[in-house]
Amino acid sequence: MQFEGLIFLSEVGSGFSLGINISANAMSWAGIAMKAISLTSSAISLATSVKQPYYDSPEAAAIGWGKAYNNLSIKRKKEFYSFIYKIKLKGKTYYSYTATIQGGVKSVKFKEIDKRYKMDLHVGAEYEYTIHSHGNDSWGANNDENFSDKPRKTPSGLPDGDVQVYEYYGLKGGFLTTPRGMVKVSRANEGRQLDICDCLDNDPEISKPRKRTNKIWFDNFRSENLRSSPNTNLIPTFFSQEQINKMIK
Amino acid sequence: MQKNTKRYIGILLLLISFIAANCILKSSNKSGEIKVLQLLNDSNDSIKISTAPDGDYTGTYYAVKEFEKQLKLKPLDKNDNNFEFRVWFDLPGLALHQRLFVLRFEKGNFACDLIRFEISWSQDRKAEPTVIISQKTQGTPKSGWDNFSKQVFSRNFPIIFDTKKMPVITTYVDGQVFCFELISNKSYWMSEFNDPEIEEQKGSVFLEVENIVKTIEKEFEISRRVFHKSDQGRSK
Repeated sequence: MQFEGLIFLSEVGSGFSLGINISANAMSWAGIAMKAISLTSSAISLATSVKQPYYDSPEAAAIGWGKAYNNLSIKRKKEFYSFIYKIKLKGKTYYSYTATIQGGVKSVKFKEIDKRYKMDLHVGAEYEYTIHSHGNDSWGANNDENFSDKPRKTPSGLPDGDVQVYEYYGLKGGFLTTPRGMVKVSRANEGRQLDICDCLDNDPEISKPRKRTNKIWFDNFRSENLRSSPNTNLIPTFFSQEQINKMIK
Repeated sequence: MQKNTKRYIGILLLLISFIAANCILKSSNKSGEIKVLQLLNDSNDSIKISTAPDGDYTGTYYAVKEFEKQLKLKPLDKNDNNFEFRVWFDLPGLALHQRLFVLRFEKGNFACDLIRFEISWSQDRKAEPTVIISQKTQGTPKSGWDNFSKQVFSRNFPIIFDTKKMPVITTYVDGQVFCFELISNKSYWMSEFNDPEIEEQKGSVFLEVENIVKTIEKEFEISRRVFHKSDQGRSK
């Protein structure tokens, strides 16, 4: 069973529309207006024809996710959480993100993350990174611009820090989108967090607003093959569930 | 079998202790609460600290020990004070501003310190954070020590240190926890809980945690966390 496309649409079903545009890089990404579709059996045929973005790199997928969810996360003052996965289609590797979970104010239940992780992906797809947003700015009360990564053993033994989650699943790392409009990455074994882009909107009520630079740190992208340069293409390719199924076969 | 019997006797003693303690509280002076806690001592035979499934202390324990060192506080588990109760608000998580409530019993009277401190992380967050005290004041409860101590050290109080009664606590990524430390008659207890504001499983333990936290906040006029400009008026 492949649920991924349908789960993705369940988010869309909450009245959410996705539009992406990075004008600073003279790149115009086709906006995708997705109609609200309820997740019923009658919607399945429609659901399979709606297209999802597939990117050339996990970093581009993270920027795409940030464009789609960070504003909503700030507006609702809630953390959002998802996974970035890799899939090989007709010999080419693509990256996309799973359905997004809306968490609480400054937290996400680990059991919700785990439930999401245990849902089926497309055949052959593999999780590579976590991605989440920290929601609105906390007026200096919280460390919203950074990953929480102290090694904190809990009485349940389950991870409760950002870094601990990706380590728990043995993933390559995690991405974070922040109230100041940054996309950041923390990779396993690199021991530090790196900036990916300053290309998302600021929290409009932020204490110290600053001008967005639209800078993208391509040096902090990583290639799948260490010998080659990382792919810096940010423009996604759109595939429907139906097309994915055909390509997987 | 023998272990179970001992456990039941322990629980029974605990119950008796607290019924007795309540009676003491009703008629005694300020030291009544101390007697309650001494009775808690008598019914438990070892130091109780929350641990992870591998038996090691939790990250909260290590965070508390680090903060305690930097705040130049005497480690409570090595303290010779007869009674001290500490409540750490908003531990690890993403919180930068944290609060510590310290209640001591000295020379026949209660004394309380309210400490606000800030945490400064290194850029790579690998080194231990630097702790800076932003405010340290001595506090007195609004309704008086007798009333305050009756509210906090009620008959349900020991439940917060009773690991056998702990519900399965939901783990929150980025979430903040409350930590309770208690030394009484040279015995030490420590337990940790999710922020009761976000915890959905409100069993009797969480209701007690909420009662203690809210009583302290109300009696000492401690501000709630502020998440956003528009939340500032929500609560003091």
